[in-house]
Amino acid sequence: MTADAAHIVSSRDDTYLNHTKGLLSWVVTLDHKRIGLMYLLSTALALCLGGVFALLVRTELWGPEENLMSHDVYNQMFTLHGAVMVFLFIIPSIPAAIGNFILPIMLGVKDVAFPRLNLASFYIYVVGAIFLVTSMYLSAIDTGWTFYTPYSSSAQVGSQSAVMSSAMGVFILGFSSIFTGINFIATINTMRPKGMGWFNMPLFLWAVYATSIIQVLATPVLAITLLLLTVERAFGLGIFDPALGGDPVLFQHFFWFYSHPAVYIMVLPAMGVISEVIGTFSRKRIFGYKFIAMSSLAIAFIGFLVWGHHMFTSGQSKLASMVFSGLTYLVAVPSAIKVFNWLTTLYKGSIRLNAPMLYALSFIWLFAIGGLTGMFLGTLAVDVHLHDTYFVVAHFHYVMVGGTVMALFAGLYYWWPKFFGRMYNETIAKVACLLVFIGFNVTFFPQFVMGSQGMPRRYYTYLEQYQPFHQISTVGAYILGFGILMAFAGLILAALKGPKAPDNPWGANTLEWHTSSPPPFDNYASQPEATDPYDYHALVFDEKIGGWVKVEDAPATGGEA
Amino acid sequence: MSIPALLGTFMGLIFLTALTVGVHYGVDLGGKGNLIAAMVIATMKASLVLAFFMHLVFDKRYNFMIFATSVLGVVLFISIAFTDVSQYEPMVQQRQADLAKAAEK
Amino acid sequence: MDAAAHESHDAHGHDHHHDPRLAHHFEDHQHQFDTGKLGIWLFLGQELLFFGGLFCAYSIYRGLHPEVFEEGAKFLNTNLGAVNTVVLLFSSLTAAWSVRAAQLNNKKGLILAIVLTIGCAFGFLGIKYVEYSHKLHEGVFWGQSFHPTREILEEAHVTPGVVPMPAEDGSVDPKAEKIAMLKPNLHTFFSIYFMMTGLHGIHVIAGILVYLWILRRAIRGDFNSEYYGPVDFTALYWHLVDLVWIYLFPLLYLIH
Ligand SMILES: [Cu+2]
Repeated sequence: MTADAAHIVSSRDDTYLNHTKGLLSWVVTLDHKRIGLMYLLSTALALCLGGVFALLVRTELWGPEENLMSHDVYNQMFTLHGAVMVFLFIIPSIPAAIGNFILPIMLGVKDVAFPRLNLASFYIYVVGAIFLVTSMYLSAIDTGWTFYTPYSSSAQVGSQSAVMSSAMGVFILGFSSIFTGINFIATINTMRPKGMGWFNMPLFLWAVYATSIIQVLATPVLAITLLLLTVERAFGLGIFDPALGGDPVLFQHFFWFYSHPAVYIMVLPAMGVISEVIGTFSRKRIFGYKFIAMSSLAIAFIGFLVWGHHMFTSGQSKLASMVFSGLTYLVAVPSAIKVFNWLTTLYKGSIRLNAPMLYALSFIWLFAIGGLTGMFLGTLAVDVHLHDTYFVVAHFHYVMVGGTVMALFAGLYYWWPKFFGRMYNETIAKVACLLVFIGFNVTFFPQFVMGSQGMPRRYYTYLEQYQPFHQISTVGAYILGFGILMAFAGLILAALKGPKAPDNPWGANTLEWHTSSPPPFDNYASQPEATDPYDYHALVFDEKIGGWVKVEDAPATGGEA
Repeated sequence: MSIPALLGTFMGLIFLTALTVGVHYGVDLGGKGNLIAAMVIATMKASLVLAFFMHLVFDKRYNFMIFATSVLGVVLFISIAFTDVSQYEPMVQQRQADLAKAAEK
Repeated sequence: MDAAAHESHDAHGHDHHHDPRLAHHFEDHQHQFDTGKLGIWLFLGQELLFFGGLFCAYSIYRGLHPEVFEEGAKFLNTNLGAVNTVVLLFSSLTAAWSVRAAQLNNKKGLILAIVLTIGCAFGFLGIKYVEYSHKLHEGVFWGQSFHPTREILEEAHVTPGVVPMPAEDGSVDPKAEKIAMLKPNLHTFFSIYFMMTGLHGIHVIAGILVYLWILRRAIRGDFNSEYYGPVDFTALYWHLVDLVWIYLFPLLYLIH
């Protein structure tokens, strides 16, 4: 064993996990790794909470009559499902949890640019979450996660005070997201290591960078929208409320100016994770690096120009609908560039089907379906038929769950050995992946069919002809729920009881794999020089430690396999 | 920043404020003309503040780019939303007129 | 990072800095300053988008109903608005001056500039208070609460017309003298006016709070020519608040 390896083993005794002890050392920590884990815990809880709402909704829809809850409660359930999943889970999940942990280590720095802001952003998230969840006790919000006016601004039943507390909750959550974005942009801009130009950055960083741009530029518009909505609700402002001369369609412009780009806040970091995983497990230099990197930026920028495709049937003018429809197709180009480049990376790679890779491959499959069905919805005439049907529900779940959740698990299983220094059980992880994949498709594929046959979304009851689809979908939802629980169980088991992980179990060459697992408190004694992130020939497998080491550090006898 | 530069910027701002108030009271360029004049003067004032008080002229290019991108975002948002609303506004007016007529009967 | 820095890292581990104001993940003060400055510019960028929403609502309602804005502006006191503009511009001057003083190690100048800035900020809020209280007292509220009194309608010289003038108690008698033609949805102007100036006012208050903290640190002697980032960043924020007002003043007060 060389000096370098010895250094790594010895540093294992002092990791970020045991550097300081006690609950307080976590609560007030400025360490990006601990903040990342706290984010991970809270977003995972949010996923479970949102999942429970989803299962309640699906159970109620087993038959067209009342099974479980009244229609008012049903309206609250699907609203809470949407709001919790979008604002508490998907948006912060990959960037704030995985990103926080991995981004500085990938850059070889000790922390993000503004550690205090980072911690503040976490607590802002917690406060926002409390506001949002509190609304459940205030008779629960039932407007749908989109808060459309005039219902949200003037309805006198059900959602009265809950609209205000939820809107304020999301307003607060927005600032958490903005601060994370500011932090990441500043970190990537000013703290890259020696030798890491823009085009030597790992693709995950490009994806997070593009995400952060959206977070900083789009989220404030959501904030002002919800502030206006709250004031409208509280004081009768009359900007969005038609009864006071306001314009409810304007609210939709405001809302979607954020919420369409927000879709890319959800999926861009996921794409970044996939780019890392596909490269590593194909052991082949990622194909079309610059195209993948630039397509992230292209998605971010084009994403700002298409919001009106949510408003084709809202009363939006023909001119705007035509322009938005055309621009919407444009987003397909960078998205397809990514998919083609991942597929080309797989071609003639030496593929290893470990759990992260399985999740990543599921991502590509599901994202492709989600993306392609988006084309139907972007077509004006077709959208008139499909708008507000289960087709839309299935489409965005394919992108947001099939995309982001798959990538989240790909990323978690990929970096888990780095997070906790322990390996997961491959069998549990793979079975969970299979269950999630099957459960997901069983849940949402029938929704495409019934949607195209005219089943409207958000309805409490339905015609008999849709019942088989609803029942298949409900069965799938339970399989999916079980799969996700199992995936989490695999991770928790690994963190508690897994065998010790080597520093570099996958043979990846991005910088985070060059520090120990779990990383020491400071990540690195001094900033290392950048590696070529996709040069897999720089590493060889060392059987003694069960992981990969630099060629120059490899034991002389081992040689290249 | 040197004292003359600071004071010069300030005097420029005061002059432009006086100018815009003066134009408001003294010159009638029509509703749109006055609006454009006011906006041009405001933008000149904003440029002075940005360039000198916020030292963008001496600063890293990147900070200027951030600001420019944000301005672009605002312009994009306003112009697209404005275009759409002004396109469908006649329909709203028509509908309101119809409703008023129906109410009279 | 140069070789010397590398060595010093290796020699002392992570606690080789002697200046507690330099965070451990930055190479030097310049690095920390540049990063902080980038961060504050990003923050200002998001502020712009935040206000952008209100400017969007403003442009749409003014573009479609200019007459409402013409009439609404008559209720505003242009002189007070102009005075407030000058007050805020002066505070921007002193804010910029505070940066200069910090760069030159001029502690007294720094403290004076910050105190003047805070003073102007309070002055601005004071004048705003006079304006607000006058309006609210006369029933000029936003949206559904907009019930202007007879006095303020006369004071604002609202165009004579066919809509009856409200009586003293705010009630409207259809047979009363018909002099005030209130434009339909005139309240929208005040909704926008109160939202924009109110949100701007909240930013002024936030600025005062931050400046009080900066003042405390300045008195303590935290800042010098090497470390003055917080002074600079707060000044940048303050200039942005000024910048928003530069547009609010003509857009709300100077409508022809
Ligand atoms: Cu969209």
